[in-house]
Amino acid sequence: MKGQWGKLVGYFVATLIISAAGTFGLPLLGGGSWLPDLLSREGGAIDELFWGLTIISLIIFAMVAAFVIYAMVHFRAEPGDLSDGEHIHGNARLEVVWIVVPTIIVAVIAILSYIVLEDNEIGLYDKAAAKDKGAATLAVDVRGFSFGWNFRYEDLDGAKLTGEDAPDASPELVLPKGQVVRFNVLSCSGKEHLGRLEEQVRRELETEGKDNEFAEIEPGICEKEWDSTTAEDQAAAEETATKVFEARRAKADGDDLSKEQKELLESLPAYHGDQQHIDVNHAFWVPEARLKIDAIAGLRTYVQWQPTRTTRPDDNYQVVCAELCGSGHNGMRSDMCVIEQDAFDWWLGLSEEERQDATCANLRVFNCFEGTDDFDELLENVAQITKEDPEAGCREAQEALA
Amino acid sequence: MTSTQQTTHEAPTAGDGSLNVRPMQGLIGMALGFILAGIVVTVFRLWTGGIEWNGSASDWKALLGLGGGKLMYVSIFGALLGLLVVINGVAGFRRHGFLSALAQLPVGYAIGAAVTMLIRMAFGLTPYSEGPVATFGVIAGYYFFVRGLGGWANWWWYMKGAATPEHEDHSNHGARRGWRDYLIFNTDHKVIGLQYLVSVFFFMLIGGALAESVRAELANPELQYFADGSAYNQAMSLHGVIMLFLFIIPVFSGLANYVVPIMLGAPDMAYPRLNALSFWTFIFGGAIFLASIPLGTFEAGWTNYATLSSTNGPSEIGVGQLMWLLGIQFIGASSIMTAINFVVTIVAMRAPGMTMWRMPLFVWGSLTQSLLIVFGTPFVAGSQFMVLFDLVMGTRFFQSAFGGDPIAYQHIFWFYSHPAVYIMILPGFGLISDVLTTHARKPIFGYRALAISTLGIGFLGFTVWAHHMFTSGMAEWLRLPMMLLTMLIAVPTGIKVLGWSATLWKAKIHMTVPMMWTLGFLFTFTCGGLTGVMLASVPFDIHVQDTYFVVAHFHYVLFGGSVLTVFAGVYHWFPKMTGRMYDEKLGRLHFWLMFIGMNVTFFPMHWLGTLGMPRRIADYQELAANYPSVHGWNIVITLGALIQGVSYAVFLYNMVTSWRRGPIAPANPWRSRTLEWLVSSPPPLFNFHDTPKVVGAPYDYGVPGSVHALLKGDPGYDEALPGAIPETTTAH
Repeated sequence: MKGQWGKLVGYFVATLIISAAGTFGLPLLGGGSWLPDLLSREGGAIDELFWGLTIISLIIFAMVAAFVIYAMVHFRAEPGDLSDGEHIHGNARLEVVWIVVPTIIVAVIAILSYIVLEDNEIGLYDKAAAKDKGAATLAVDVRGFSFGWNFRYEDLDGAKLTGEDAPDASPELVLPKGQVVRFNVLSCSGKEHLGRLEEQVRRELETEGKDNEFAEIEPGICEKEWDSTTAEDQAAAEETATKVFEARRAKADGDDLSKEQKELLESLPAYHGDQQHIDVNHAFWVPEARLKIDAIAGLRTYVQWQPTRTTRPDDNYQVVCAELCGSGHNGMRSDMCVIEQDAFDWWLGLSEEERQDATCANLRVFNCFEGTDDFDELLENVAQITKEDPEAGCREAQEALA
Repeated sequence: MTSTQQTTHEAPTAGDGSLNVRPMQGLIGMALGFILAGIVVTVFRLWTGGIEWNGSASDWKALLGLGGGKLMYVSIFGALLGLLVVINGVAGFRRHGFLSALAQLPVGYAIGAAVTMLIRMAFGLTPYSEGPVATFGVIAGYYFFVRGLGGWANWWWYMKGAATPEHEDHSNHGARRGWRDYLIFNTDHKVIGLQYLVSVFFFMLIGGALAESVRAELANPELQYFADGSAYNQAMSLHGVIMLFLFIIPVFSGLANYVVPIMLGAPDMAYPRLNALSFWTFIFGGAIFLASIPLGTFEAGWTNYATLSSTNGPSEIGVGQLMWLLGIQFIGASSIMTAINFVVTIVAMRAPGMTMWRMPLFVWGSLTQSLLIVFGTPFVAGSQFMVLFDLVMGTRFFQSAFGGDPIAYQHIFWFYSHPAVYIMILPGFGLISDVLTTHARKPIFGYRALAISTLGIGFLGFTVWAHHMFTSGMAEWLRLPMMLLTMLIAVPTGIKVLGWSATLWKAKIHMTVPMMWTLGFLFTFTCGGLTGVMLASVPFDIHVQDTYFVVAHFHYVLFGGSVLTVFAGVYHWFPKMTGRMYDEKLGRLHFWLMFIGMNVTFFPMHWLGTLGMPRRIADYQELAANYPSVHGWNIVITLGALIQGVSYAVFLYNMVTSWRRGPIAPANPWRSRTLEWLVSSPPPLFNFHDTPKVVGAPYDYGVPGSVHALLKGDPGYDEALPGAIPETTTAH
């Protein structure tokens, strides 16, 4: 019996070494780590949790695997051996052990996970903790749409931070280093307004002007915040809707249709109004930050994290859509970058024209230069450098500027 | 024998073979169809105020179904009714069978479509609209498909009070006409089991081919083989749907159909006809999925999340989305019918002495799985009906702008689809216990703990659905209880893995092919289970949700778990089902290729996921530019997938050749104890000539002289369980 235990331990150690070597070593052979670079404070705790979970999993796997391999080696039936194994049908004490021990292990994992989660979400859902250390100090409104992203910068009370001439929303995510940023995420097509108008027209025509408690439709959150339609679009949508629904009504009543009405019905057979104007779900994810949240059509969701360093020329990080959203899903990516706080304040005030050069690709090179006060001049120089050499790293850029 | 049965009028019997052409009836039927349809529509339109009656010639023409313009549809409908009568009159189609079913299917579709168009017309709508017309066409098509098979006949005759010859005379269900037996509405559970197995391995071939196409695309960044993201999404969605709904769930219906009644000592399932209906309903649903391929199939993934699946309107998304929504309803209905059948069979059809604690663990797995299906499947049906209504009828269940809730879809969907994961693996857990004890010649370690943990997993399975939604923006407090409960599932699952491992202690392991699959399963399933605990941890899940880490996890659970148990079961029971032995060498080759192939394929996916590769993408060039190892691992994964493809070819070749020419198998090649091995290979028509008596535990290996069950003729049969089997009455 003693010898068996010794051998079992040997098997365990060997299995653990082999599986750990495979799990940790092969990615190194493949030329990379398991995890993307780390950009957020929150991601640090998540990474630690991940390594802990991986190590626990490896140990448990090695225990089971070593036992099974041991049995395969030592308890094989000789060819022609028709006898049965030993009649062991259970062991109550052992069974209690492997109920209690795993319960304790998963309880510990759950508690640790919960601590990490709480620590990563200070003030995110708990209004009372909104002023605590670690709570958000900057808000970014994120809009996902098929297929792209928009970002808008606000303080926590919802007041716009961007300057007068600045574009309403930026297609790239630029963040200041050190602030905890709260992302208010939404999926909006920007055309919800038209959908509502069309539906409104339909209801009014169907109720024939009678009072109807359902006739009035409240504008949704997307229409209030991300409406990209113009007054002309709205007028056109109302006109088309009126024509289509009148034509349908005439057809249903058996009236004679005009040529125009017939053509309209044929060209818009599946005219659903609102259905074509709302977006689908996306997911807002920066892998380097380790945090993601779905962008739901018309419902706001939240996530927050704190960028801990600025991004340099090789850090081509992106905002990625993680939720299947249709044919353009894999291309739904936006560049993102982190700059110093004072540079961020300067960037917010840039006009639409000045933003042309302030792309993330340029800002990453821009980050190579510290201690400058004249951001405008620096950006101009950087833009010149990247124009000549789009692949320029920090050293090339510094040499070029010198 | 009473005389009532002789006096009832004779019902038509299936396959009497007499020519019965009745063209005159067909013509009269066509004429009547015209007139009837015309009257119905005219009266309806008068009643709803759609038209006014002037008594003019055109009004009368319309009433007779001869009107022009829109009333052409009425004529078409009448003609279809007449056509049906003609088809019925032709003997070949009157005979119940697969050909008749195929012939009646389009007629049914046309009738359903025509009726829908008539109704739409009566309400003054454009007669043709893809959504409603296809929906009701498919439903009517299903009715006629089963009608052609003869699936409704017995119920219909019974309701009329006519004789039900099949019901009185069971010889029909085992007609023994060779392969043709498998193309009729056969009620023998063994035939149905094989019907399921053969068709699901066919479906797996298609699902696997789709997986290979996906891997070919992903071997290199940028799009190469697929025209656009849409085409890729279709292949990916179809792969998932086929593997889950047309392979993994029904493959256990097939294995359990064949084995469970025999294990219980029963002559058949409790409801043999319902059993056959389940199978053909499943085939119909599967055919809908496959038929959607040329039409441009669904592309919202197997999860079919609203509003991606529910907003564009069918004509924009393509008819494929509609076909998913219809197909899943038939497959779900089939699944529920099968599950009810198993619950009743297992509760009510056990042989004398077969107490719950003497049931083989495969039966326990099947019972728990069936309970999960009965409770859970209505939820997925409900969620897909809502999507269907949103698409076809313009409801707004999932549109927030009009009071709907897109997250509600995910809650309803996962309330079924998480238990569905256990539906896909609990029978496999049971199966592996049976195979393990037999080939290790040891009692299972902790029989009751394994049985109770099966029920425990089944129960907990209903309490953890929202762990799929940690990043969905659902109520944030829900994450904590869901994390705790999900991790708790590791405990009963651990009981199982440790119980199986402990069974090997001091065993006499025979390294047969089924045993190799079983041992392989212990490694890969443990790996999949452990990543499951990792994913339950909310902060880590937020990072890897919707990435290849999740893909790796569920392939380790479903492939490394379920599929490996399926192959263990198929090799274990192959001699029993076919009466022949499989080729041992090819079986080993299949195992090694597939085991290595699956690990090469799925293990690197963990790294890709943590590194930031989202799932369901056709192209990853930006990611590969940042992290070059992504490209390398994708090449390795594609090679692994190719190895798996080769192994599947080996498997199919082995099955086909061994079934035809393999050496004759003895009744009990594994010297197993459970009931299915005590009868001949393949078993006789009603499994047992006389009801067996169960006198002991199923897995008491190593106890000299102990047996699980006795058949008539065995020493001690007559004395065992006195009074358990009532004396046969000779009243009739």
